[in-house]
Amino acid sequence: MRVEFSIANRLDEIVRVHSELTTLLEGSGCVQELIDEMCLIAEEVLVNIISHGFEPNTEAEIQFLFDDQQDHYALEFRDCGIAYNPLEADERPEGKVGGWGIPLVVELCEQVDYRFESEQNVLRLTVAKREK
Amino acid sequence: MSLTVEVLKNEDGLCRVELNGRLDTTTAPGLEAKLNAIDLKTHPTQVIDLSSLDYISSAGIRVLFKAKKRASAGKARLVLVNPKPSVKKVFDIVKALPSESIFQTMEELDRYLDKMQKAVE
Repeated sequence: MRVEFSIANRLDEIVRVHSELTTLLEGSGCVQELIDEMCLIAEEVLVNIISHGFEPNTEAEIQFLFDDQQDHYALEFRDCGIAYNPLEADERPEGKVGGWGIPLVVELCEQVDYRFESEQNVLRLTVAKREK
Repeated sequence: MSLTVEVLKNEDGLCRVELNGRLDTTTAPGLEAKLNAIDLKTHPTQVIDLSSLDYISSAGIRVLFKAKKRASAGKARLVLVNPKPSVKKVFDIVKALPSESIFQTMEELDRYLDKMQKAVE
C-alpha cells in the first residue's frame, strides 16, 4: 500500500503528519514502539527540511510518501528546496546544543538514501517491520 | 498530541516537574518556558519525572539539555527519572545528557538525593 500527500513547509504540519502516519501504521498492525519511532523519524526529517531547506519566508510544499511493503515500511520526502544531502552532515555533536536529529534518524533506520533528481531533494528511509 | 507539564515545588528546595504526553517540536517551547521560570536559588534541585512521557524527539532533548546547562551554571542540579523504554532509547542514541543524571527508578533517585542531602549537612 502506498499513500502520498503533501504538507506545507511549516513546523505545525508535523502534528498532521504524526496523526496520518499513526493512523496508517495502526491500520497495518504495527507495534506501538515502532509507530513512535516512525513518527520520530518523520519529525526529525521534516524539522531538518523545514528549518534548513528553504530561504526565509518561502512558502513551499513537501511531498510525503508512505509505502507499506511486506517486510518493511518506507518513508519518502521530496522537496524543491536548496539541494542538500543531510547524510553528509552525519556527525554526532558533543557538548553543543542541537544537531541530533539526523544521527537519530540514521540510527533508527535500516537504510537511508538521498538523491537529487528533477530539481528535488529526495530522501527515502526504510525501517524493518517488527513482530508483536 | 499534547504535553501536560505540572510543576510541584516544595519548601526543601526541590522542584518536581511531571511530564505527561509527547515532548516534540510543537510542545518543547512550552516546557522550555516553564523550566526557565523556575528560580534556581529557591529550588536548586529539579527533578524531571518522565514516567508518563510517551514520546520525545530531539527538540525535547534540546530543551532538557539546555535546562541542565542552566542548572549547572546556576550551581543547581537537574536530574531525570523513570523514562519509558522508548524514551530511554532516544537518550541512549543521542547521548546528549550524562547517564549519571538519568535515574531509572524513584528509589534510585531517592538514594541519590539522600546522599546529596547528607553531603550538605
